[in-house]
Amino acid sequence: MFLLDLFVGIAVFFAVITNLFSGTIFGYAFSIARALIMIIYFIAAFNGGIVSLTMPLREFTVSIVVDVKAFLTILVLVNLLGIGKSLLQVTGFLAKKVEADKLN
Amino acid sequence: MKQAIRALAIATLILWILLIAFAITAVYSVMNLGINFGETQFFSSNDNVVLSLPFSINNQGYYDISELNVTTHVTDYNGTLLALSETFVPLIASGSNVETAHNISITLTDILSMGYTEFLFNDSSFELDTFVALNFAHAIPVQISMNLTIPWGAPFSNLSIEYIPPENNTLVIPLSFENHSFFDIVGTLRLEVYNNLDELVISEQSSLNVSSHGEYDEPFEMYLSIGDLSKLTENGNLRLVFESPMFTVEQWIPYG
Repeated sequence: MFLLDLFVGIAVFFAVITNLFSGTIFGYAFSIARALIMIIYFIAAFNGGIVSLTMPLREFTVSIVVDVKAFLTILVLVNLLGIGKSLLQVTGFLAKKVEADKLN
Repeated sequence: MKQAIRALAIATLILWILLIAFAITAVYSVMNLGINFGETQFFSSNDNVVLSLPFSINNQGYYDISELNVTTHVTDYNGTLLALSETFVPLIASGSNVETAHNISITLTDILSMGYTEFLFNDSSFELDTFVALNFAHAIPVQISMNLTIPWGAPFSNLSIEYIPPENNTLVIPLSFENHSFFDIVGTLRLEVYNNLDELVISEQSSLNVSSHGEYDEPFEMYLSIGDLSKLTENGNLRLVFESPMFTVEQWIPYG
């Protein structure tokens, strides 16, 4: 439950702050920061790709280990793509700014 | 630059949609997985005791389950391996139902040859460690392990044998035990009387058929000749030999 709350907290915080700073270089910086924090969050939430659960039943204890490394890898890759996109956007933004400065 | 950004945005969006769709359908598939366990059955064949755990998996989800491997280790209270069983199901395709049984076979002669005759005379317990490994959707390996302590009922529990000195050339030796095991004891029981010089004085054999959780309480009556009586001493040993297709066991009990 704590992990879900944390996810919602990160998503809401960065959605608000990115919108507040949209059109500035900080907006892109916050987008990159969000993707990086999401990568760290997913790695921590999925315990590095190995999710384990232990359930005591009546007479015995059942432990379940799920290897979600493949799923986690794709999640990390999606966020890396997001970082790549933000880097390209920031490059475009800076190029436009330099062009505008030169014209002025 | 704009085209590259747009391509990355589209790729990210597609990947997010695929990931979310996979996560939702995977959870739905797991919820639609019907796993049923049948009644545990015990068989005894030749020198084997087989514990059969029938189960069925009804995969009504969207993804296949592959390489299902059920492994069971049976160990004694010291952790010594007594039996190892494995059941492998290569594929449970989406929409299919697989019914199988996991059989744990324990060879009694092997256990007895390891010096575990105490299992025949004293109730005990075994540790059952079960590992289930499977591959969900050919992408997510899952391992489930559980351990369970199962009680073991000794087939010759509370064995009682009493030597009563012969009267009127007749030696009467009361013998009783309780069969706490889950299998019937069918075979022959031989009682041999040895004197203090380890000479065989007399032996008697009787057939035995004690049902699971039944009791045996019958005396051995042996008629002694004059020669047998002369060999009999006040102390010595009784040798009890039980022979069945499943196992052979002997027990030495001193008397006098």
